[in-house]
Amino acid sequence: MKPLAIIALLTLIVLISGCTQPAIDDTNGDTTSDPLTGQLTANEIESQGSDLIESEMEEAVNDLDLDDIENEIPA
Amino acid sequence: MKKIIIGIFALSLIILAPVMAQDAVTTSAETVEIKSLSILGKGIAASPSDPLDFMIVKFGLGKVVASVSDTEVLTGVVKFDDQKYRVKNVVIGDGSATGDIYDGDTQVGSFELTSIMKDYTEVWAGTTELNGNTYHTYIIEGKRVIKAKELKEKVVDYCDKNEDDNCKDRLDNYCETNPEDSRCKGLFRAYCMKDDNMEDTRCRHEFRDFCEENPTNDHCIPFALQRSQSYCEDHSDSGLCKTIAEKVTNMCEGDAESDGCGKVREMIEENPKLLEKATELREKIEGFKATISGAVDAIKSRELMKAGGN
Repeated sequence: MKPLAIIALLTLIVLISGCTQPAIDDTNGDTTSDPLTGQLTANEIESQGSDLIESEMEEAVNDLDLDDIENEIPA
Repeated sequence: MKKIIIGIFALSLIILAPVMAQDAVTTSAETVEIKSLSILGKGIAASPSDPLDFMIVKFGLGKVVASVSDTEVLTGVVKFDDQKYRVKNVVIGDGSATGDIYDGDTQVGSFELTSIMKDYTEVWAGTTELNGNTYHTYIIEGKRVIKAKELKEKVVDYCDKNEDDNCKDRLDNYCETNPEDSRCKGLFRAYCMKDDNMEDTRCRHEFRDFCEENPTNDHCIPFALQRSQSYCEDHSDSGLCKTIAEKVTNMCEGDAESDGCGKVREMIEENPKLLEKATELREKIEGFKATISGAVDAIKSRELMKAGGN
């Protein structure tokens, strides 16, 4: 039974140390400004926002059909 | 020994419960959503001195909002060939956009672009500076149609803030399931004409499509002028601005009190340099103003006489 108790104790230590680490933002490494409310810092808003806009940009410019534009612009 | 193990697990639960609860709050954390998309385009940035020194450039600018704090940020990215940079300090006006270009935390350049409508294609032209070099830059606006869910949100937003007969029946879910419905599209265009919503490329795309099919519509000539406003302030004798001026003249001659003519008059009053060299048009606009103010004076006089008679 002793080894089981040691394993349980080790598991407890690992879990506590893991769960009490501050939340790490995966975009720039900043911690969130308020872990309880989960509100983002201005940097995080800007960083996540620019990622969203980049994705929209790539989608929109991929749909650009140069033949259409040539037809639309008068000579 | 069993008691010890049970005790350890009980202790684990007691200690971990609040930690897990906190983690649950963090994972349901604030999210970031797009509020408006100002520029989504692709083009060329070329050296003024060497036409073969050029880069393919992509611009993505827009406003995002955080779900809990409601903080709004104008942000975006610019790509020169495959090198990506962040943009900061962005300012979007009627047909103009300026901002700074950053590599990490270091500013490496800036941009200044003006919108020009060539028929139904919007081009953002101007200069970008990158690492001490200046480039003439031309960006063709991409195609970004409003999505059904976004259409629903914009229509609900418009109907909450405005009294419009078309809002009388509940349209929110209907517009999401019927995004091509003419009433939903009409309400979306009404939303686009409010405040500064035309800064959103989804609104401009809707108007480009609508005006291509309805070129004489009351709102389409003001739209063309608004999109080239910044350009026509400094280039009022250009072919493009003269063409718009002719269209405005014809529209206002047809009905000086129409919404479209009123909108153009407002724009010219706010921007005295706009279409400055289109003398004939400005004289006519002044003439329309005199006619309207004369009519208003006449009505006021009649009302005063009536009041005096009673």
